[in-house]
Amino acid sequence: MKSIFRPSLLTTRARSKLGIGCTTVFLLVFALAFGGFGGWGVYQQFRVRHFLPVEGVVTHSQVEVNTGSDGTTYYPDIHFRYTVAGQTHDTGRYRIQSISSSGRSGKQKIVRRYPVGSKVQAWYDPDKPQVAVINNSFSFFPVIFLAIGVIAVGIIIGIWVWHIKGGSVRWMSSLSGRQTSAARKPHGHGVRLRRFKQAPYVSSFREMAVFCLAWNAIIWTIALAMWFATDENELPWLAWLSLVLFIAVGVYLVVKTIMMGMARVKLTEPTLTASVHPLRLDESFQVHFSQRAKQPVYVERVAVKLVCRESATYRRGTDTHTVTHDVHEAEHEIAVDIQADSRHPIDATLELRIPADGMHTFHAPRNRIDWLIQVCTAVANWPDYTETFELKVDSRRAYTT
Amino acid sequence: MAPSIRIELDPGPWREPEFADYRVCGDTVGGHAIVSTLEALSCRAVTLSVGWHTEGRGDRDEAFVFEQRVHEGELSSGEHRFPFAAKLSDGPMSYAGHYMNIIWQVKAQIDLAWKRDPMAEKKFYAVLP
Repeated sequence: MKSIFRPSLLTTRARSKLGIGCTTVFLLVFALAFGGFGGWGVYQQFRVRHFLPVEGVVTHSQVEVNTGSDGTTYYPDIHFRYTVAGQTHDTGRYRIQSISSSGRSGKQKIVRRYPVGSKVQAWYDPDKPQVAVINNSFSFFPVIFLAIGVIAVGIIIGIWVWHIKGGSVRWMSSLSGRQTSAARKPHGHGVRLRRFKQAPYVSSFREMAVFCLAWNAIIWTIALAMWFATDENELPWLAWLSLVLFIAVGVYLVVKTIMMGMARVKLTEPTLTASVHPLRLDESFQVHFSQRAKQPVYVERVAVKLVCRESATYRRGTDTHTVTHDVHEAEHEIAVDIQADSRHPIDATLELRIPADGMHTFHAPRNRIDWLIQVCTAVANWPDYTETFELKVDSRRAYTT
Repeated sequence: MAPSIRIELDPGPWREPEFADYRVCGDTVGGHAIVSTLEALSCRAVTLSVGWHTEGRGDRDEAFVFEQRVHEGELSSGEHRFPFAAKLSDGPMSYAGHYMNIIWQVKAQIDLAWKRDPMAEKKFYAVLP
């Protein structure tokens, strides 16, 4: 009888390096394409600022239509004649870069503004007199492309920093189901618990700040481009409504980031140690909470919540969604009405129990069950400091040897 | 007529009929895959596997703790019993949650050339000791 044996051809480290290499190549091509196009466009825009004025006469003025697989786009195709240093040129055009976009009516307005035979105020390149434009205003469309290219480069750098720090190898190991089995520390030896960093939640202040910055940078770049480009493009109201929604999310992120930052002004990061870790079902354990204050604060309460959370990830088309549900929640107040300062930290100990009928920790690529401890320090008249720590519950019962 | 295949599990650690399909994580689950065919047939393989998979809102995850090709080639007419014994991993245990279920099962499949492959699945519950 033969058994089906599937050997692993690559080590975890080699696979993570291969994956990162492929991602880097893809993103690099993406960055070069978008960044190159956007950078060239921005450079052209700044060049136009140094053009010199000249009078011209429009010789051709109509809306050009481009029909492609992704729809129909338009641009105002305007040519004009002008004379520089005794030489006549027929090469003048509307803008330094002709970019097609949707919205025919906006382009028709421009064409109506410059009928054939009309005189126009134009600008020509003193270094290349054959290059001249009517519209020398700054267009933000190339900026968007450049921003996308810069973001792609940022992602590449971030991925390599993450890989160098060993994060990719740990992530690959967790995908293959190989989890490092930590030796259980017996009672009396505190095990410091780690912060919970699993997506889709952005739990740390640093992650939230970076995400907020990236989100608002992208959205405001697009908003400015849309605002300054409206003389050429009439965008449907749905586009503006969508933008308003994205801006609203950006504002929420800014407020949340500021509140998280404010909480960190007065308090340091809390530490949580467990008397036993990893845990088992039906096991009691003690949790010790400690947090220092950077300045004298009045802490109204410190609450600790033991949570068992299901996470399920699915794809719909090209979108990935993750839903979560807390199947177990138990909140405990471990301290109330405390005056804390740098010399008198907040210290509290609490006994918790993993329920006998609970589920152990389960990690698969698309489905997870996590045990978490959420800590919330409520400071009077100040945003709360919240942090989430992860527990590991083995697939054994407390009384099993 | 296409061959049929079914799975019978050996008795588990509990005698009560309501726990007949319960097994303990870390223990062995055994049984037979029974192939019945009215006429002799040539198959590429008869394969047995034991593993778990997730069902629910999230996309499917699965893993196998046991896979074995129990037969290749000609199968004469009649009934054929292929025994198996698979050691279960220490986890995960069977689970029915809000967005996710974890289901253990034994799967038997006959790989036939140019025909639909008959298949049988037998679910069981893996519990912690």
